[in-house]
Amino acid sequence: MISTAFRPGTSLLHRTDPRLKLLLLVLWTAAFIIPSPVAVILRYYLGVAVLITLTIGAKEIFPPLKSIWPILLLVILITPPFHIGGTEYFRITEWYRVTRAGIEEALTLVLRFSGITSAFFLFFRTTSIDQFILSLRWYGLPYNAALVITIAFRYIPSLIQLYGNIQDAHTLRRPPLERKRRYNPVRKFSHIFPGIVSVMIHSIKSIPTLSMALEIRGFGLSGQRTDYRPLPPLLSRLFQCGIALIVLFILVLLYFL
Amino acid sequence: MKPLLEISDLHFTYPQYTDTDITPEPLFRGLDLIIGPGEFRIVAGAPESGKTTLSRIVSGLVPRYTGGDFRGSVTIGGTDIAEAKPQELMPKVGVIFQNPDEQLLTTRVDSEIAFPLESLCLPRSEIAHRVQRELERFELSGMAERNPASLSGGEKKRLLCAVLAAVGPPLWVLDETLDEIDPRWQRRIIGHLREMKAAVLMLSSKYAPEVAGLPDRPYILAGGRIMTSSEKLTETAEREGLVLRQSPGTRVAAPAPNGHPLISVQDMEYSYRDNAGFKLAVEELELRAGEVLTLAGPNGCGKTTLAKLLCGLYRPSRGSIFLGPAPGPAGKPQPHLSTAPALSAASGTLRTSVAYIFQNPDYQIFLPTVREELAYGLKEHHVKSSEIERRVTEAARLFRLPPLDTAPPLMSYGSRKRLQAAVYWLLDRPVVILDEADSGLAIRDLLELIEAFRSGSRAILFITHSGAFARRFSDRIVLMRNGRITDEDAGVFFSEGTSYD
Amino acid sequence: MNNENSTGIQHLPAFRIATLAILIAVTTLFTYIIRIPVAPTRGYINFGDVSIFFTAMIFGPITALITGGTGTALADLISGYSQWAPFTFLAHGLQGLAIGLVIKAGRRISSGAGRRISSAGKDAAGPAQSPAQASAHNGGIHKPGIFTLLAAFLAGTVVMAGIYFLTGGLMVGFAAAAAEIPGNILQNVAGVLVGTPLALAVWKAYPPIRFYTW
Repeated sequence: MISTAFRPGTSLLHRTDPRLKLLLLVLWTAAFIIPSPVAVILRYYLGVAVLITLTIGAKEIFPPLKSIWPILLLVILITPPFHIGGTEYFRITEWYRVTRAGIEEALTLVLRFSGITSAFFLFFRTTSIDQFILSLRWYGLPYNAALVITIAFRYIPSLIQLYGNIQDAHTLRRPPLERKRRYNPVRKFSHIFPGIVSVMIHSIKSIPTLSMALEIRGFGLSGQRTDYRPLPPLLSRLFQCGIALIVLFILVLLYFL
Repeated sequence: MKPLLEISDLHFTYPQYTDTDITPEPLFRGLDLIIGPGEFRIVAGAPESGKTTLSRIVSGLVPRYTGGDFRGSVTIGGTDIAEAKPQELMPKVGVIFQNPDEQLLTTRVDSEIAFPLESLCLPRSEIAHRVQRELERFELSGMAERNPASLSGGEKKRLLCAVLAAVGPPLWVLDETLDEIDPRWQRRIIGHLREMKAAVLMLSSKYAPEVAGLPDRPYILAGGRIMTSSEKLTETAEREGLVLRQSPGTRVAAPAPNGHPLISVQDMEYSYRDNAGFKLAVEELELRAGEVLTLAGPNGCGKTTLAKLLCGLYRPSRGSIFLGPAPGPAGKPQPHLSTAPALSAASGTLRTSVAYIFQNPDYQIFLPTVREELAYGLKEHHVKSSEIERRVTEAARLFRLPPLDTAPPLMSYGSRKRLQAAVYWLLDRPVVILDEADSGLAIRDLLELIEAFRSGSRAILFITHSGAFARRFSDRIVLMRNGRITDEDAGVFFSEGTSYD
Repeated sequence: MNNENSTGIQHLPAFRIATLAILIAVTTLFTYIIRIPVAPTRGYINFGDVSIFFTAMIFGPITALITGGTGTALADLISGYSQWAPFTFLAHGLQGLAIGLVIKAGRRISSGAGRRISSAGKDAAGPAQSPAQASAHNGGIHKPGIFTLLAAFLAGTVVMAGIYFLTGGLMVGFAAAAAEIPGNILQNVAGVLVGTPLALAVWKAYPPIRFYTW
């Protein structure tokens, strides 16, 4: 089964209202992006790391970092030559110079990207897709758009399985490769092409059937649809709102300390 | 008593695409049907007799989605369906499609049940109450938060029943719904329908006068009309290929199998990646030239997995598959097939020797015309174009395909299945596996298919979960359960239908 | 001959929802699963842009905007790169819009007068049109000319690579973001080179698709 990063749990963040989490995510990301000294970005990153430790365990700090290490490496290598200033530490050629400004900038970028990645990771780890979509709706996403996304999620695993079957069916129709040839993207493409045509036709064919299914479940009747599992009114979670405000306050404070 | 569903003098023909020369035949020619409130009516019909179209007409989807020539009157509870949209008809009639995957919309079982109730703008507490009630009634409470796509076929159908029950329409239309549900649940669902005093129109491809204790004989949909009188019913049922009971001696003529094993399995085991407990284990199995072997068993017993192993899509975790006889005591006849006898077949070789015909004919259709689909495989195998044209024409004749310039997606399901079979027939492989070919194919088409493959000393493995017609063309029948071949008596299995432990 | 193929279902809300949902799921499939290696060293192109070109050519700019953006963003969510999702949504959504608009403009230019006649029938729910009229009305996929395709490719590349560069620059610095540009260009090359034959193949092999666009 295909799934997002979400794992059910009972941590503090699992029980927090998704609307508040989303707001904090957006603001925290903005905090990372606005130009600030390295020290401030470091604090923001540590804030995320502390949050991860308190809610889902310190060892979860590493998976998001692991997923982006190639880019981090690239950033470390490629940034210094474009930011020259302060003490020069070494140079490789006339052009590739590593200076204090370069290192600071590289560090800033590494912390920024790690921080944003970790924050998103934490959000989607503790928030199911249903809850995420419900909070988007509260912020203004129209019901029909939310329905489209929900149905798309329902179809993604089916399409993946379908594509597997289609590939099998096409493979069985072809003679197997006679011997190990040198890899050739054009031949690979000509093997894939019939399969993607089939999967596209199959998917398009299911559009009217899906439309029928929606109509016989009453979609399109006038009147405001009820919500079976709505989010509770935000005011009923006053305590959480309070905590969120405190966290925001700390975020602002970290900038100035 | 005023009838609930009244169909009177219904005529319907699907529209013709101007791009093609196929003039569609009228599907319904003056069809009448009356169902009173609370009445349970089974209508049996051969594949492509119009059952699905009928279910869609009654729910207001046809001719809305298809166009076509529609005459006659259909009313439900006094409402003429020509004047109503499907969503407006939802509180009056509920339909369950044959393929449950086509009707699932959400990612949670309870949301699925709630969806139509949300459409009706019922208050939240009422929705919650009904969802709870139906989860309990259909024993889905433990699965309330699960993704419907992860349920088994039978569970999905129970879920769809739960959805309808939550809405509670007075008329239910079931399109082959009870197929693939074990007998215990079949009885329970019928029981619930009776409790709810629902009128039921049940469409089925099998004609069995006693179904779960229902008193009335089924009607038959044939020739565009519904027959209700009891005299001609059994005759028509036999002719349309609807009967479950086997008439002896109606075997299609075939030479006695000459016994050469074309493919043998020895001590083969296969473990599923996702499903740790389940293992397939087949000690010995042979497919001989010229024979039709039926492999039957309930859904989930491993039939498709065995087929995929035989055609080289999967590799066994232990044991071997041989092209020819399995190595054994000296004196076994020399194999026809491989040049090196008793050599375990690599998956590449299996793929060139075994044709696996998927249940769904549309997986591999991607070209604009029948001719191109037929020629594709031959081109890939580097056959000369003059030869290709000759073979393609022969295949089209043998499988009664529409004109070679027809676009496959516009053909009927039966024609597409025959096209798929023709594609594989042209590939000329000695072993042919037909996966659930009996579902959706009229009996005549099925017998013709088998006959076309039987010539040329091929071995045919016919996979089915409901073996209704297996005796008419099989030389041997083998049963599978839980990943193993069992010794059960095939006769007992078939007369009871599919049953689960 | 009474041809009632054009039943107008493409205007039903349920149908549009269904179309968008399926095309989104297809785009996600193409982005997340369908990929071919392009170099012996681990380099891959995913087929997400193929799906976007396909959708733009057949279903038009607005659909390509919605499905291109959402489909690729969902792929980010399920593959563990959720931090990119908002930027992916922007980049690929606007890419789909740009490609769709260019192709539409290209058709308008090349079929001048013919367009005026058929656009009158576009909103009428009444009797059906012949396939020829319907083809022209639905932006007839007589193969878009080579200049149109080139322009569409350029528009798509500039928009997608440009947005990724700008937003990526915010996250990882502009130097590292610039390193992604060649890869993104290659993605668009694959998109137009595979997406165009795909659109033509599906159009020919599944004629009813002509009546699913709006």
